[in-house]
Amino acid sequence: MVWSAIELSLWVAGVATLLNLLLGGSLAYLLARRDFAGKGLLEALLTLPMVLPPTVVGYYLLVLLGRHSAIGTALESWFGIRLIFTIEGAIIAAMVVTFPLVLKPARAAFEAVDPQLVQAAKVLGLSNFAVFCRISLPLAWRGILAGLMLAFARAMGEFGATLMLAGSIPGKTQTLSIAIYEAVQAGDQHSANALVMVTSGLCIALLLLAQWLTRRSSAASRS
Amino acid sequence: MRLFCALTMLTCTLPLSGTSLAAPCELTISAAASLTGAFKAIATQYQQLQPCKLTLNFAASGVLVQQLRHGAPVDLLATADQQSMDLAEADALIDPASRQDFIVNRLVLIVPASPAATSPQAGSETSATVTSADLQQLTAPAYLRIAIGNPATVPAGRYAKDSLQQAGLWPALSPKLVQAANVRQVLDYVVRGEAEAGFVYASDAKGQQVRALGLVPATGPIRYPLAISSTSKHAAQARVFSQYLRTQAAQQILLQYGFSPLE
Repeated sequence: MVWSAIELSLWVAGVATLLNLLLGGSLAYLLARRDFAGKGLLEALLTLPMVLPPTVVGYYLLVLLGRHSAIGTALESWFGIRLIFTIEGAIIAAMVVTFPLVLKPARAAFEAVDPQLVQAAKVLGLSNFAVFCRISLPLAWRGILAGLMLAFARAMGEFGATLMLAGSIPGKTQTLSIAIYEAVQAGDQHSANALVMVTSGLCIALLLLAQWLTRRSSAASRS
Repeated sequence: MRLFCALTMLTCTLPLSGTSLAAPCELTISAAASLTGAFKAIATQYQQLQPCKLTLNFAASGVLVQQLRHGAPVDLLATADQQSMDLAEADALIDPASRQDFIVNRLVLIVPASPAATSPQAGSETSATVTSADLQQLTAPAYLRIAIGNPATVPAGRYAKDSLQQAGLWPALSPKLVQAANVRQVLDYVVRGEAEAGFVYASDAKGQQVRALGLVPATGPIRYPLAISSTSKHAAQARVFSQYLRTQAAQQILLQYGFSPLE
């Protein structure tokens, strides 16, 4: 039970963080570089999962993606995909909850890139994409990475939304935090202790790594 | 000893029933999740009769025992099975003398109310009994997921597991099972159509958006025991309430919620 839960948690948190890198990273770039109508509202909506209780997020997802919802029905009839009680559901829950943790630092990192460098690159004939790849990303990646670490650690500990969306199926959707909850409820102190130790260790390691990266990135931007 | 207990009880009860405001009556009752509806209704009625504030705490029986073990300030414990109560008694969490059964429940197999899931010959009312051939149907691919209470903590899940084991279907059905934290969650999963079938009590299925296929043959009657916690500071008041549960009025409410009378 312990190992399958660890494996599952790492897998769920890993995929969710990777998807958030793509989605959150590109959105952060957009928000940092462009102004458009409704930007404030969009930002507020994207930050919402960080402020709302995870159970509320979970309930929204359950109602939006459940079998009787428009999205749920479409996914099932077109692709045969069901999100409730599946690892995909757990990944989506972790993704939504940790999205702001990726978005915010990434946006700050992109904003910290000296606009003069960007302008200079453009004057020298670089395309927008090349500017992104060769100027913005290399300068901002540490900040982005620090956000990713935080998101990964948070995704490892996701409980409320995951339980509501993915349920608790041992070996399939029973992640670390859910396995801990079940073990404590069943009075299985031995498993609970082992799982708690592993989770704490993993999260401390991730936080230290994130801290180190942030320090290095701030040192780099100072120099 | 018993006489001493009775005398203490009497001296405790008498001043209370006379001047109710002297010591405010407050009871915390931990009850199995399956009792949610019935106990809420009983509490409303009881509080009209007695100047007593009832705080209700619902969870799976196994969870309630764990809470009690870790010092939850509970006066009365009502579980959905004997095994959970046995655990509580073994750890001296309850007063064994106060333990008594107060109601009976039955396990039913439910499917979503919409005709989405194909079903074996549906019993129109919960009086029909599910045969082992009906249970065999659950192995069909149409039943993608079957919701069941986590057998480690949820009595309804344990009863369901016993029945499935008896039918020799436990290994075949295990990969399809979604384990819920309590029996009400099983109901919710089936109501939402996220699970194609589920095992709940007759009392849970009653009046809900599900169709009961029939009673699941259990290994024995499912009797709900009740006991006063050994750490209760309101044992006398708890006793009055537990006696009330055996009255016609309270039993009537329980029957309305789909429970069965004690034989």
